[in-house]
Amino acid sequence: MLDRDGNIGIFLLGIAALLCYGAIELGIGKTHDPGPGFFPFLAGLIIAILSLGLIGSLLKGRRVLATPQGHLVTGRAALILGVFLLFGFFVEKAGFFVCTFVVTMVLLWANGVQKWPVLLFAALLTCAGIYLVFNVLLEVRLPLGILRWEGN
Amino acid sequence: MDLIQNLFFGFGVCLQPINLLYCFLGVLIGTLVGVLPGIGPPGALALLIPVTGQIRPESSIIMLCGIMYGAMYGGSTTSILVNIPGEAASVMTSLDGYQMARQGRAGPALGISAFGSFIAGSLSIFGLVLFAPTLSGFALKFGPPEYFSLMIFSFAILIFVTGGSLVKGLLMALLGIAMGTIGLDPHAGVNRFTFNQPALMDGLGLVQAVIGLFGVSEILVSLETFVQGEIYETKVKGLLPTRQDWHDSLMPILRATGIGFFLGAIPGIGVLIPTFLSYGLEKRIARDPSKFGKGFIAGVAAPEAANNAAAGGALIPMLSLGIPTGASTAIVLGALMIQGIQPGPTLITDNPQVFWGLVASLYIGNVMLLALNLPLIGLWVSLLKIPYYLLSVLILLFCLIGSYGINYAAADILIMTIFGFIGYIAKKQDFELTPMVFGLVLGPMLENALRRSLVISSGSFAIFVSRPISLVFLAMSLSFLIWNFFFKKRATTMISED
Repeated sequence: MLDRDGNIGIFLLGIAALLCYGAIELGIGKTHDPGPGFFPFLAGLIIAILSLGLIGSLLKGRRVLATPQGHLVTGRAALILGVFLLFGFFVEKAGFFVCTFVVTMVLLWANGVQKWPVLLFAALLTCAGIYLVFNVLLEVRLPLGILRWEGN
Repeated sequence: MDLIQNLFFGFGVCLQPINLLYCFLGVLIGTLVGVLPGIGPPGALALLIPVTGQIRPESSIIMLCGIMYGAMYGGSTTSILVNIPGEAASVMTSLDGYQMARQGRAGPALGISAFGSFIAGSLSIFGLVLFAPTLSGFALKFGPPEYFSLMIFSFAILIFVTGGSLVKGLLMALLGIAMGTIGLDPHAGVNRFTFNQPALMDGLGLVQAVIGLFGVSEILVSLETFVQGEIYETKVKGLLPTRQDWHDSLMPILRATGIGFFLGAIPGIGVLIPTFLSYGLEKRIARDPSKFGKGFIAGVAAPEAANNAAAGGALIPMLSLGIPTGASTAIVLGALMIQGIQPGPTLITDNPQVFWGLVASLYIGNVMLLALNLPLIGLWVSLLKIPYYLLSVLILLFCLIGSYGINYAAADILIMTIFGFIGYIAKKQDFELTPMVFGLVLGPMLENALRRSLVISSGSFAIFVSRPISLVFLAMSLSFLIWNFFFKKRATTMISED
């Protein structure tokens, strides 16, 4: 029975296989004239060997180091990373300030701030601060998105 | 004579008002990073790289290096007053520093840590001036095979000294190397692993990756484990150490400077190990070792001197060979490359304003830190009272703005988030992150050296063992890996016992 490290080993073995496949597609070339896939192929090959080593040592029951127990990804971490991904997807459409407003609220909420007036005030304050520093002082044009209107 | 002329030239560069300002900003931000938990020097450096794109190379390296050694100073404050090191390099300081604070001697503890850091930092600058030009002169003889073997050697030491298993360390380094191949192949001019995404054609982007690995993941893990430390209510007074304090500390400071400087200059060692070793050495040679851990001033002076000297020593391979010694120097190296400066043996001759300007700034920065740290201790302490959840939200927002601000591209945020996830999982599963950053920075150079070597040798790998310098590096790398595999557990136990 494999534990988390074993699963990571299997995942990395898959990555190595994809890397080697991609490298072969690019062209490995010859040793006297290495192609664009030569180095990635070499890297993929070694990753595959090491992943097998990681899995093999676990199958034999040998652990290198005890790894921490508990959830691998907690709900809070998943929420923060998910919000970041959404920020990346919507920042250009919705605008930097709208996205920052939402993200600030979610981050504060995830960190235990539950009162809506506090959340709204803190998010507004953050957006105003960012606007002041970046748009006014540094003259950086952050995307306005849905806040764009004629003349700005 | 040349040396004195070069130093004058360096001071001329650094004393320009704009460079003085960046030096001050660097040490100030560095101290802040050292004081506050949640973000370390690599994350802070990565966040500031987009800013450095708009300033001159010498100004940017002066500021970035200021953050590196400024953090060493700042880390001691939290170690002494809260018993929570703001930086890993200040872990040993907390053993005796916090005990001194509890005995009402926080002032002398903070004072000796600032003076010890200043002495060590100043001495390490002289070492840098002496050794870096000599080493870069020697490295001019290196060809692609020697460089390839030197980089392999750096990886071997890094994996040897970082905690965790050999296999996990190697895997992280190789993943970094593999990710470094994403983008345009400079030799063949074809895109590799870009999936027709324009954002990937210039490569993954070191800054976004490092912000994710060291900024986002650090906060995510800290939110699960962080406990707000209770600040020990004591009046910080009498910062100047007494004559007896100096008597107890001076030799440990000098010994720790030597240890820190020479170990710090070895790629992969970083600033943490010298602090452990210098503390261990002082305890071993002390007349009464039982004093250590109970508020003995030498236990503060030695590790603080060691971490500052190591920060200076770490610049030698970075500036003279183009080889980083840890995550922070890897990021500074990346910042130089973004500015179009090729680090390596020709850096000193091709860009003297960068090298000598930096050397002079190290000295000026150390003086600034001494002036900044002692009177502002009250301010640093009050910053520690900021609730961690607020601090973490601010840092996460900075990560978002920092990664978006590089190219104003949404894809950079996605890349940062993916690396944040990788870093989070890696930390929880005891995979070290520094080898991955090493791989990202050194990967393209490693590939270039390998391919050029093979072209030179008409495809024979024997070129790496037929050239003496390359052979020595490879033999040492192999020894480290074998040592790591068979003896590391015993060595680690010995160090931790110390």
